[in-house]
Amino acid sequence: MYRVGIAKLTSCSGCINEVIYALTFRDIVDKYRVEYFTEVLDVEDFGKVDIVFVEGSISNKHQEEFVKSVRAKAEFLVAIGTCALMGGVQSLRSGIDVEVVKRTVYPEPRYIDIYSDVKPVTDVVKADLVIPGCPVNGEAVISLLRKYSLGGLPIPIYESVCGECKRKRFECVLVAKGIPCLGPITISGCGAICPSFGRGCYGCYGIKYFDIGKENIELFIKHLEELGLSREDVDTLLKGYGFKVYLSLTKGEKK
Amino acid sequence: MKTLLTRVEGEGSIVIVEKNGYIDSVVYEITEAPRFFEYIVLSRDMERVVDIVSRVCGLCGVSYSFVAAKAFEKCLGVDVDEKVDMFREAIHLAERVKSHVMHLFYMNLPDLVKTKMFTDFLQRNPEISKHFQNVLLWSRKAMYTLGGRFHNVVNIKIGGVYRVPDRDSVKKLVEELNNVSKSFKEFASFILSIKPPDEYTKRSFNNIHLVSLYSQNSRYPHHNDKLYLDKELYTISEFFRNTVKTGQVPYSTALHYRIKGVESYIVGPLARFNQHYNALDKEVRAFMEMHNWKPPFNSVLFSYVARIAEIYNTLLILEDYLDKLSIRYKTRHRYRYPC
Repeated sequence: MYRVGIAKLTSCSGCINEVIYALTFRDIVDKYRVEYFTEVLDVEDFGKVDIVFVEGSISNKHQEEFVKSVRAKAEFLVAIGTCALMGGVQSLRSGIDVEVVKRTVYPEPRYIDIYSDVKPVTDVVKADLVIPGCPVNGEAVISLLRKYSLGGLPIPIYESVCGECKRKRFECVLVAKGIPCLGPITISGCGAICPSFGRGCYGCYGIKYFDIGKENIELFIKHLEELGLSREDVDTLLKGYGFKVYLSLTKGEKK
Repeated sequence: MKTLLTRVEGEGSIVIVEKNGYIDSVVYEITEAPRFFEYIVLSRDMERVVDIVSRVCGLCGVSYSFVAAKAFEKCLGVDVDEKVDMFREAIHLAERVKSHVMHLFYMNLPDLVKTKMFTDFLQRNPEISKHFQNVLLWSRKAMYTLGGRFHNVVNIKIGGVYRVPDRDSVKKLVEELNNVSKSFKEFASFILSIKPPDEYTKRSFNNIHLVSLYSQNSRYPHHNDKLYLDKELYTISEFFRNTVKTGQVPYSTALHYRIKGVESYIVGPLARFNQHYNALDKEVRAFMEMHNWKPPFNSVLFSYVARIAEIYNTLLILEDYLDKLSIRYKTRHRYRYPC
């Protein structure tokens, strides 16, 4: 039996719900024993595990220390979801005076102890595997658990949502209908859900960082603007679902 | 002494401070890191807001997207075709089945059958687990068909939806509902037949207020812009602007909502069940009473009973809605901003 842990940081639980879904299958339950998962298990301490799934981004020192201790006790760490990989929608507050942000919500902002910027998990600890998505595709989690138990791992696929559209023979919403779509710069894995619903991809799997440079992104943004999206709106999408890459692009850093 | 709260949505702990062998104080500490949705939606494009707020909760994101779309529609004076709105309600109801059944199996059931975790139950009682799985997998299929995925659906927009599914896939959902309902009743009968632990009845909230949505046309409520505070009717905005006051404590990230700043109230399935029991379908009430369950319940620990009644009622409504949608829906609404 492999020992598995599930750790949650700042997030909505959507990704770990997909892990729960995976753990509902009998063949997986027979091979994995859950050692840590506060949402569904009465256990307080994180012990040694073979594989851990980490969901969410880091908002404070406590979470940062926790994820470092999780890394130290796990043989194999899987960062799941856009929050863990890129920062998630909560990154939309990054770059703003944190006191202003706190005052918008809390009558007593001084009680709230958080970092001024959101940190993706992959900025703090090494991930052995990342599964993007907001939320992650449950089938990808099931596939990983089945392959891992056989001594293998999923083969990484470096492509954009466009690849999925083409394979499913969807008419391109961007080219054929002129609908602004972030598919060309978004990491694949969702199955092109938004185009299948006649709307443009809004980039929730994160910006495809592995082969697109700042110049390409700028050209693409220009095209989106020509199709009617405002620059502010494009920034919302890039920052909200691809903060880590967005930050490096806007700072002009080399990715 | 500090102990984590487990098998609940959200993150928190209970801290017990002891002095000279006596309990000095008990602190209910919510540790979940805030995500500041109230701030991050400011000045965003409205359609983006509908997608962003679905990330408030991975279990019940449709509630947030649906209500955000409805709020914008109200502000902008956008009328939505009745059938399109019924379709959006169907997405919301499918999510209610998903969210409630997940709560029941993963969080409530292990307490009732005294196991450490649901996986123990899966191995110990595969037959009942199979019935649960049938309901979960159907709700997953319904969410995919109607909303695009299990969480963070992509099919709700201001003024309607992006796409209605093809008639055959909706018909298939309807055809499968009969077996799913049978499975649900088996699963529910099992849970309702378990004698709850004694401590469930010891914890009561006799003096707490109940807040739940207004029941239109005597139907069991699931969305509305009015609500009941006990028996008094309020508009949502009136209630949150004038009746409720928020506060904080130094040890918690939670915002405490209190009536006039002091009196507690409960919301959710248990409040709805206690306040609108008679609006449940008579078939549902007969089922609950056959298992000797009837409101009022004075402990939040009985919310699992309310969830069972709500799932049953929701499956009946969904059968009706999906049946209507599979026969004669068509999109007539075109979204536009009035000015």
